[in-house]
Amino acid sequence: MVVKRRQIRKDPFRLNEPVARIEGGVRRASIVAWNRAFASIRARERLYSVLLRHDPDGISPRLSAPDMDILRQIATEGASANHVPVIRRNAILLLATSLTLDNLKLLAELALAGEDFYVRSHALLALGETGLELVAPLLRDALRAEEATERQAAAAGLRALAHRSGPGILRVLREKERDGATRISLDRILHALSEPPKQRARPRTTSRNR
Amino acid sequence: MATVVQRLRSIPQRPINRYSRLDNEPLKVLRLATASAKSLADVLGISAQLAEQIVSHRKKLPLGRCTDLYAIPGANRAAVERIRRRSLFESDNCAIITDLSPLTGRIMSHRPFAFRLGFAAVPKAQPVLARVAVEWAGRPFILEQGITKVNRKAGCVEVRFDRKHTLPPGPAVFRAVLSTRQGGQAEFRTTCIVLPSNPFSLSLSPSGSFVTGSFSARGVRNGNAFDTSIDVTLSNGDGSSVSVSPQFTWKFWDGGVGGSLVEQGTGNFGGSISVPAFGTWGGSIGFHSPQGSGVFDKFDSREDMTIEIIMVKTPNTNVSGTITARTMFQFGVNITRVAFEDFVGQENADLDAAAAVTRTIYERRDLTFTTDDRGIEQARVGGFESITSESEARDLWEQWSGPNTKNNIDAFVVNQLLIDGQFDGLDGDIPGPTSHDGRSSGTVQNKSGFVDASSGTRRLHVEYLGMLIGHELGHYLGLQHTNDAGNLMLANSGTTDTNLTYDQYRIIIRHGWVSID
Repeated sequence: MVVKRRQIRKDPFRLNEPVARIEGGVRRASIVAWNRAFASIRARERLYSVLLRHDPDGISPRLSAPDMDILRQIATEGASANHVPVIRRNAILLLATSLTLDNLKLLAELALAGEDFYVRSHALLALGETGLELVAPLLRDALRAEEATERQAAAAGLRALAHRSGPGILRVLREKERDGATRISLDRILHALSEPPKQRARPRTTSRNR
Repeated sequence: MATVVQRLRSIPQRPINRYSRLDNEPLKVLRLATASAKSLADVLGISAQLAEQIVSHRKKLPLGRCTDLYAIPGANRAAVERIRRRSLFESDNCAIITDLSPLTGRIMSHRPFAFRLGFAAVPKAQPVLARVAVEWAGRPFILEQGITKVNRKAGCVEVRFDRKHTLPPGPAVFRAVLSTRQGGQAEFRTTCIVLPSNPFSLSLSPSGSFVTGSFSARGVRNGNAFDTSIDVTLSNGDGSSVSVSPQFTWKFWDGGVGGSLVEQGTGNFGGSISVPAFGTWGGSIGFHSPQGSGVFDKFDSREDMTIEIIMVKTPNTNVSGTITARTMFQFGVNITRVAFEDFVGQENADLDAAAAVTRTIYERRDLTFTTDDRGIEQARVGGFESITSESEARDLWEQWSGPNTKNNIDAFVVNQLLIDGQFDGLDGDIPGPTSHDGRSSGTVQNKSGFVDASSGTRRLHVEYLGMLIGHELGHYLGLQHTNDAGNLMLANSGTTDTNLTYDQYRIIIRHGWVSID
């Protein structure tokens, strides 16, 4: 790399900075392959723009049946595929927006036998968002999961379920439940649904640096 | 008063083809329908008994899906998770990249090279397309290549970079994506040091930087002095080791090299320096410039300088490198773990690394920040570890903040952030307030956790979380979403979208919590 002295760049960040000149320039031509067989690959890349959105912006994505095929595919790809975790999470959650048998079967399978507690948690949340009463026992059972994340997701899923189909289903579960700890968890969810959050005194975070 | 070298140390070097901590590790993946009991036990780390049971079970019933494993006695949840992470079922539509490395073991500058991309797949879902995206000192580019029957049989493909795609010396990030016809995809990232063909080079970078490309070192005011830290990398493209004198000469130039000299001096790393054949050596230098020194005066009047480091290699040949040094606008961030006991050892290390990635993103654009690592105890967290609505996030900002850091932005990292059933980040307002009061005083982001496929440990996705924290801080500092490709403020920015424009910089420096020394 040859440094050219005191050349002014157009980039305002780099005014007065020596320009590093690269042999062959700063551009290399991209080579993109095209083949009809790659259509599903391109469709998947388009879906990433939906799966990676960070902040609420009021825009609901329109997803087609072929999109759902791709979402199901992403939902089954494990950690060995090295994807950013949020892509799989959002693919699982978006399956709940279309209540097909394929989607429900996959969500139930992931909730019961997903690769790790994150995957199972996301599937539990998605199942709650479906608003279908038939998923309630599965969510209730997950309140007893070993992992806290799964238990939290099951509680959030049950809250979502109650919001969509009414708290009656939770009361029925509560009535039939024999396990004491699960009854307490269901009571807490029912209580949270009926009570507005309490205002607390303003606490402070604690520092690791001090 | 004059500038002195205050700190000197050598930096342990990573392998030249796995140069970044953010790189993926090579992985052994088994096809569950055909793997022997021995390889199942060895690779997956399951008991020999369970491995035998799997082999005998699959003779009677196929193992098409993960749930089929539960029919095997002894296959408890932990074992099934372990098997699932490292094996392929016949129903899988995704091929896995097992490794990505230069074909000849190294990449030499300005010479064609090739990568070997190894993969594992089941017969019905063979890969059809390989893509490698390259981030280097110039503009990013991609190469795509169709995968042939021969490749599929061999379980690997060579991606060739011809003479039009050669690279200069320095780090380059290679991101591979492997796609199947069914739409399945797998990714793999590796960073290589491109070795100099000439065959020796010295390069400088800001201390602790995470990304490729050139950007400036930073003068940080500490009381009545400025401190500047840089890393030195010596790269050897020759087949024999090279001895370099541990002594070096440093110069601070006004503007570029050859302008007017501000200050100069010498330092000594101590011991002896031997740069291994086809390898690198790294060191770190910390300069201390007290009030009254020439460097202090330049930093104090916001002027840019160029640092030049000159070393001598045997036999008596000078090697040198330069980097721009400048003061930067800065702000503070309280990186706050919500329910901090839930963050296990590796996750804490990953969060620190993610904050360093965020800092690198901003320092590339001459903005920097200090961090205070904070936390909320599990016992007092009150459900905020899982946030499922915007109002819950606003309750968090209203009820919690860091004390004694009134100019720090509160950035909360939670176990689960799920707003409107999808979003993983939220900022209180654009721009955020210069006060910790009210329901807009902070950002919150999902911790981006996953369980690592090779080790089974809990991790945070460092590169993505670093970008996400940076994105939400960008909103707090006044930035709206943009449509510029590669920009940090894209509504759907990914790990490689980390650019900030000059206009965005000008907006950020107007925020009341951003200042310059």
